[in-house]
Amino acid sequence: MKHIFGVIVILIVSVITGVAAKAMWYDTWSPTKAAPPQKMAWVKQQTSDAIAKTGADRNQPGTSGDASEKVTDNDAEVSDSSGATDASLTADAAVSNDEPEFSGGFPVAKLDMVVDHLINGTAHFVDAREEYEFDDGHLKGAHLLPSSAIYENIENLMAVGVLPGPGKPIIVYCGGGSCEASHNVAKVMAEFDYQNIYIYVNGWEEVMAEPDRFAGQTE
Amino acid sequence: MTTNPNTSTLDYAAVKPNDTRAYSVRNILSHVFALVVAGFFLYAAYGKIGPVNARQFAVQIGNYKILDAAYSNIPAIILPFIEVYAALALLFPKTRKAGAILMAGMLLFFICAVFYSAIHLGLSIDCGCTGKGGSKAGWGVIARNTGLLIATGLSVWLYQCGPCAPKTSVDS
Repeated sequence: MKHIFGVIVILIVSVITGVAAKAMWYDTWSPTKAAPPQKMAWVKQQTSDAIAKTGADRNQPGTSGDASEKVTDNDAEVSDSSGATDASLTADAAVSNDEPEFSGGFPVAKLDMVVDHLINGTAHFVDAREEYEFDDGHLKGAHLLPSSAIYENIENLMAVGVLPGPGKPIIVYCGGGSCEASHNVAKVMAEFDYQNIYIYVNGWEEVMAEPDRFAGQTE
Repeated sequence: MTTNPNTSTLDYAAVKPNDTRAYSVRNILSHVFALVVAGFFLYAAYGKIGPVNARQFAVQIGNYKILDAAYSNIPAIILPFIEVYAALALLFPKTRKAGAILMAGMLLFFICAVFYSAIHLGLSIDCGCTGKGGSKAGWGVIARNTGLLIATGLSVWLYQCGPCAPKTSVDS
């Protein structure tokens, strides 16, 4: 009986410690505070440049009719909490003439879009799978950000030029299925002010199933 | 073991040396097992405590698809502290049983979770055992946790049976 009492005491003390740690320690942390100030200043500069450039591009004539007007209305509008930019989403939807699909609050990247960006090098690809899966094969130029160690590795993304803000689209993919790992990675990236994030829900499973479409685009 | 028929008590002179040795060996083994299990849990908890580590651990819990992502923060905050206190309790003989009950409960739960997510659902996920990536959830993790479970049991069982020094027999 006294052992059960001991177990209960340990559980109560653990809960109290956890609640105290959350209130006094964990809640004081924020992703933007965690990044080195110098780097953040540089990131902000890059971000404003990207916003200005995106605005200029969108105001150019010749982009597809109604869609371009929609885009202009949403110009430089920062995304919803999920980190996806409405404007770029509308633009992509206009290109594909499809209603945008969402998964876990993020727009879904379809096969055609993924292949287009991959061939033209117009998007950053982030692999949310584990390192051993990445080593077995991944999309060309993809950056490894395993969902089990996102916070440890997110600065590596900045180091290779994948910066927060509404720059190039970022397509996060994982093994396929429900693609939970890529949703987790996308959520954390959004915490760090990354925008324009897409989820390639079908992920590596589809890459393997469509070898012709991805010929020469994997490594 | 020989007894003195005249007094119905143990002949300590005849039995003490061997039994004392057995007592020591059992106790030492008990402490070793407790140290191994507690050491592993303390190391595992170290990687899960802190603002960044706790967030990462919440993601790892979410990957198992047992809890809704919205609720994975609660175990991510509390579980590491249960691990710490249970490990400390396991180290001290007086609180060893309480620590072992918690350890066994957690290990059984982890085994079931890994079996459900990695084997049954077939998810390719990191086990999140130490809060850091690099250890795939699967049979390897189940085997290791089973080993730790057995070691936890032995640490208690050996200590319970440890006092093998002869008890005075009841006079008839």
